[in-house]
Amino acid sequence: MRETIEATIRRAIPDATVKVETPDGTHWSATVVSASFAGMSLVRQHQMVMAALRSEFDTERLHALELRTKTP
Amino acid sequence: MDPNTKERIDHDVKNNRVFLFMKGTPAFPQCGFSQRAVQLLRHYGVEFGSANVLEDMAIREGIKEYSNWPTIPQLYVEGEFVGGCDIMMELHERGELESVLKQTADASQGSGQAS
Repeated sequence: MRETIEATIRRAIPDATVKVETPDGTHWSATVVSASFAGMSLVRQHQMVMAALRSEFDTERLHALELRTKTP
Repeated sequence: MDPNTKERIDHDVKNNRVFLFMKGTPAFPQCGFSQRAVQLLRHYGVEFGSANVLEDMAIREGIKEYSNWPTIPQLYVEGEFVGGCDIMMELHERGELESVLKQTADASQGSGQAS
């Protein structure tokens, strides 16, 4: 799952540094750092990441993701 | 998304200044993230409308396309998508959530915050 989340985000945002963590294999958090977030509102930044993960959510492999987005 | 579903979502977010799509109801949230969203709205004392997506499959799926956002809860203010639970939390921590929630009132009264 960790690899899937990381790879999916990198596919959508190729320059991103992605750090995915889970305390228990069920709850996931991701920190995504990318220069492409510059000038975007917080919601647009999250939308880029969340939209990429749509199929993981739809199939309920992923129920929730705690997300932090930043610029380098 | 079928036009009828889109129309219902449009109607909800345009006729309620603050609107939350959630799992459960404000009195009985059925998911921790929805619960946190309700708590934040209550913390700022804003009135809000809500829809329980667990009771409406068309809205539950339609809202994900409407906002290009795959999870619930989803907060709308003045018809605009604000974000989910994490964004609400981050705006809250930055001290920006109140002005997002009350933006219209502040603009029309011009006295919302000390300057």
